[in-house]
Amino acid sequence: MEMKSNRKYLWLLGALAVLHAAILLAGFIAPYDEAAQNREMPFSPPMRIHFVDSAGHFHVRPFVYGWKHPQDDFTVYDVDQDQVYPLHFFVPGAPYKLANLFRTNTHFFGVDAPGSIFLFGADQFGRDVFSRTLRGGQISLLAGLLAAGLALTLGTILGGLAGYYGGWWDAILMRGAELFLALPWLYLLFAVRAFLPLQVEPKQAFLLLVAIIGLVGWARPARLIRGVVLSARERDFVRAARGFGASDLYILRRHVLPQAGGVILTQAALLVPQYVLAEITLSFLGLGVGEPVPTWGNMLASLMQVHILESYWWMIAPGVASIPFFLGYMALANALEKRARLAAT
Amino acid sequence: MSRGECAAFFMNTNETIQSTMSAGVLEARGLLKVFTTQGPFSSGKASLRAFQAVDLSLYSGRTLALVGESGSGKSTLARCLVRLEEPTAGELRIEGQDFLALTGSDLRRARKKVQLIFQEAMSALNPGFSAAEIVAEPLIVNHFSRKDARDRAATLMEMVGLPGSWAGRGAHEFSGGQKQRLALARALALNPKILILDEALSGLDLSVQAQMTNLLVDLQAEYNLAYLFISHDLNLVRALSDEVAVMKNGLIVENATTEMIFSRPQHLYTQSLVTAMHTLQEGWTQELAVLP
Amino acid sequence: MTYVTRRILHMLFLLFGVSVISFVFISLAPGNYVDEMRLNPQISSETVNALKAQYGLDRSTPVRYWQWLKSLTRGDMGYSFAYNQSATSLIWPRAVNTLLLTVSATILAWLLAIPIGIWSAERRGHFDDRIISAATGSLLAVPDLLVALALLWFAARTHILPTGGMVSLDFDSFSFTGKLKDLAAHLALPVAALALGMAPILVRHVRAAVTEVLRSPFYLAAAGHGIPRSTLLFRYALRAAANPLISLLGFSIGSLLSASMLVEVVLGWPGLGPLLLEAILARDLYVVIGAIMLSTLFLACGSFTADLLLYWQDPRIRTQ
Repeated sequence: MEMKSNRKYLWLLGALAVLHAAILLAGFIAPYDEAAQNREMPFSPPMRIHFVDSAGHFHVRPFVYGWKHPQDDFTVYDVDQDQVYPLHFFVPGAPYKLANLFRTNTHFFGVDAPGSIFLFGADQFGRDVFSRTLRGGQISLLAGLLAAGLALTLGTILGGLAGYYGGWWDAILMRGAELFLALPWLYLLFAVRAFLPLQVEPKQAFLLLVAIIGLVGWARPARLIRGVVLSARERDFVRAARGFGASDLYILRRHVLPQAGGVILTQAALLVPQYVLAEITLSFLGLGVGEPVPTWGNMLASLMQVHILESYWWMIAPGVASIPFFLGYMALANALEKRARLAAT
Repeated sequence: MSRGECAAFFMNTNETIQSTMSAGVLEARGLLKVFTTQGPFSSGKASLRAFQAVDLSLYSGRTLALVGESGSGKSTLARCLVRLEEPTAGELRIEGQDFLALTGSDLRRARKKVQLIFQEAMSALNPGFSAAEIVAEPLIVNHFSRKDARDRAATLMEMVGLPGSWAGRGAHEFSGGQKQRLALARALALNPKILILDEALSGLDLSVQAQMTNLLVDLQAEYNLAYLFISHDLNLVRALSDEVAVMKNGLIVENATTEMIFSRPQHLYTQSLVTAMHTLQEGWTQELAVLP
Repeated sequence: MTYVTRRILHMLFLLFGVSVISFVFISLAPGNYVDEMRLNPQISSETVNALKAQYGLDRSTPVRYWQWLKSLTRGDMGYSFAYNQSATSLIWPRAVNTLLLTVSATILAWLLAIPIGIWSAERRGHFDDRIISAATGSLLAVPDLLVALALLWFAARTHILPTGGMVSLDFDSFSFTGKLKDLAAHLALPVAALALGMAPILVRHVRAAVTEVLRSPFYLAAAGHGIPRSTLLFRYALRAAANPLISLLGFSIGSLLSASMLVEVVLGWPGLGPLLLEAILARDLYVVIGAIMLSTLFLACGSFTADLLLYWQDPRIRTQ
């Protein structure tokens, strides 16, 4: 039983790792730069990859067809089987920084000019949705991870101090946490966002977003950590340690925090998807990171216009792309909680 | 001569020990502990007197037992004697030094002299630690080097009858009795003068209790330790201690040699305890007699 | 102090705290509506200054807070600069719409979740249960935003339901039943979106709570007495499982309000959500605070009601 669940757990971690790797290597996997426009192909539908051509021949190297516009109408796209663009792998393309570390311009796949390959279609400026989804994922996921880190750190410190020292600190902190938890979280985010200037550069907006979400989210983890620390403090081995002269810092480090470790990890697995969702929501509503930097949130914003939603369904790609991540994190949180429960017995 | 007879030889049965012997390694006078439950935002105060007017003396190489039922304040007193809780009032001297007035590094130095062993070995040892880590912890905390601490830990384990090769095992791999030995080894790490055993043998099997009792006696003889043996088990008390103090509702109602307590208890409460013990024993022997 | 009194005081303290914090936050915001008006050359600076004086925007924050608090007791939430009307007249109808939406969605979600959860608990481990668990798990992973967009797409494609607003343009000309039907048609999408967002978690909790009860000795004894199954489930099991579920109701109101804000904006339901968003973008100070306070009030009232329900339901709390 334990072996089986261990195996499932490892598979889960592996799957999540692959997903994150894909996002980390976004620059490599995406054929185009996120800002590259193609004004001749606004709202291009997704292109299919073919192995068998119109004559029925099988090709080892996959290819895509080009588009032609009947009657010079830019809004209608027909498959043009005369334009065949084979896929090449490890092609040179627009320069980028791989994992933000070193510069290169090799992309995983691409097609020769003048062809384009839009796996997920294109938006109103002819920008490749696939590339933008991958890049957007970098921003959204990073925002979620950083904000979760911030909230957890803050929550652990404050909750830990409250639980360990008790007394007035504990009371004040817990009342404060209650106030933060008394507001619906989205309203709270809005309130804090309202306090800040509206027009900000995307980079500053990103940092602002992370700061807001993280600072607002300290309350829930703080309460949980406080509980763990409170019960750990009362354990006899903590008393014994004090009995031979251990300092508070030593006790916190050696005895209390390891007990809290399980809770912290589970909280992390729960908070990251919540905060990614928060970024998506805020950017979607125009209060987060704005154009031209893609995030999963602001890419979905255009879908509020019903005609776009109806006619250009592929624009929902960023939303759909987020689902496996949410599934993964939820499963991870479940698994972590189960392991923590088993370890406590 | 048994220990009790030795003591009786030296004193008057109707006087308490303190007045005829020299000052002990631990002297407590008039200790008082009152709990007030009043936090911010809670409704109303309530005060609870854990114990009061407690006078105790511990002597090197001798064992004082503290007897009483649960709730009589024994454990709180034990914690106060090592300053895990602060007494509300009273005087406490260890080797002549005012223990209650110490702070900081002075306190830390003085703390080494008196160590407490808890009842529940399970909760007194961090389950995530290895045996060596547990036993060596007092040394690490007091800035011994890792290597010295580990070597000393192995020695200490041998002292309490555990093989040194078990040092790497996790705490959860030890049985109840073995865990108490680890706790004992840990308590001895800093060469204390005084050991306070708070119901330390209570959770153990009879045979393990016997082994532990022998171990404690040997250690006491070898290192001239003073013991405060807190228990509600009068048989253990009789086997292990030189003097007995009886506690009821936070007050010490009688304090005399073991011999006196068991043969001629003065206080009503002590009498009832001793009678109960005898009755129980008689009942058992009667039962045993009936069995084929 | 009785339990009820303590809960009321607690609620008041919360509202007070939130009001102070939001007021301080918002008034620290760089720029307010009046300053933005200054940039408009058509409005003379005398008008701007007069407006500023009238609404005390040139006084210090504590003074403004006190004035605002005083006017609150008269039911006046301040002035909306963006819409040029009293904030109350703007906020209140929107709040009612939000209430309508959230209450309907909650009822629908619980009506769905309770039977499904009970069914799932009964058939625990069987195929049906596994399917339901998989369905709730998948639905949980889909963000509310996507659910709302998906429903919007569905409505736009099939033209069965209207895609925005609360009532049709010719609402006033309808008969009473016509009006009801129109309202319901407009309500359908937002309620569905909200309910679909809430339901999976509710189903899981109901399933967990009922499973606990189904295993308990008192239930097994009752079953042994031959009591019919429906009575067993609804009178015995549900009653016993009610405790954690009522607490869940109290806790879920916060996320319900957040979710409703998003759904309102996406699906065009005229509630507090879109109003708050516009007010923030327009820096309309009093409307922002009014909307936030009202949402907090709803949350506080909701959890207070849950507390009362718990108190009435669970005799053990009464003896505390």
